[in-house]
Amino acid sequence: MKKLLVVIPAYNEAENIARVVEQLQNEYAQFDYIVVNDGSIDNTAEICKKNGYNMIDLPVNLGLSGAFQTGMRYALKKDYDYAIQYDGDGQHNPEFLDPMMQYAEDNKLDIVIGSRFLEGDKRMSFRMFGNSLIDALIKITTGKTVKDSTSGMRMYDKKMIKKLAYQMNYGPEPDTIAYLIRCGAKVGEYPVKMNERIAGESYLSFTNGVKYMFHMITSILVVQWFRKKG
Amino acid sequence: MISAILLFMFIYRKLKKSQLQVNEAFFWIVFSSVLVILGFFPEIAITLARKIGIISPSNFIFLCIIFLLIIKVFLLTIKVSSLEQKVSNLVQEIAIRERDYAEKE
Repeated sequence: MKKLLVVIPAYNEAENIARVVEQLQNEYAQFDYIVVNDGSIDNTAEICKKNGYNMIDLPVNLGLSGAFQTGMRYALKKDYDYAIQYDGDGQHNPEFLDPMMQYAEDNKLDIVIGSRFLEGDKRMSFRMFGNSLIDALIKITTGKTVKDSTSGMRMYDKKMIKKLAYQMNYGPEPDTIAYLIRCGAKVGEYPVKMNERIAGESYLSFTNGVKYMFHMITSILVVQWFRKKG
Repeated sequence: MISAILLFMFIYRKLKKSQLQVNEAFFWIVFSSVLVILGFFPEIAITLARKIGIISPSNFIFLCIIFLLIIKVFLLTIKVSSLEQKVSNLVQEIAIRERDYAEKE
């Protein structure tokens, strides 16, 4: 049995973190998880400590990519075969963890994206438009079709964990996926369903969304060509 | 000329208080010294500019300074990037170790 680590970056997720972790602990105890508290200013850390959750407590706020990288370092240190990026707000469903890992193993994939749009509806919204745009850019630059590159549920194998753990510019975002595809990583998608956020506020407001899009577009279209393949 | 001397004095004082690493300081010492020399002997700039074919010596000086500063800023960006990375790696390492430590107790 391969070992899977569920990495849960959490920034101000006090309202959600207990629900998310309890579900993992009670129903999917075969998987290990690690909460990376990214210097939250609410009592996320206290909740984790009180309940004895497995947590890494970052003393300062590093942002999602820094928090996620911490999880990758931990996964590498503890010698996990797969690590998955898992939202702390309950948007992701743990029932897909095992099938995703199976899918990765069966097809010898380096990265498996939990994709919302493989089957089912593609609703039109500002967010969807952004997603389609990034998918199109990835198609153009790498020739690979990815249906849901902005999905936050991505599983990485050991080879990828090593890269993500120690190198700069490997944030858990679509541009990294595009870059890794260009470096020869095998990427697959597995259909998943996600939940709407129950509590707390989404990070992706309109202005943040625009900033995010700008960052992704420039990174995939321009900066990527200046990066060393490796 | 006066401003060049003032700049030199400013840098000199800051260096004395040692708020700068030596190898970094070297750049600024040379830079401000050259400005002071050019302030005292503008003929240098005038002849150099004429040799290269730039009519106005002040344009020549601006060109050189801007070029130098662009390089400096770029090198600084690299440095800041690498510092940010190091800080973030330190934070990660501290947090992971702290967790291991707490586990052992």
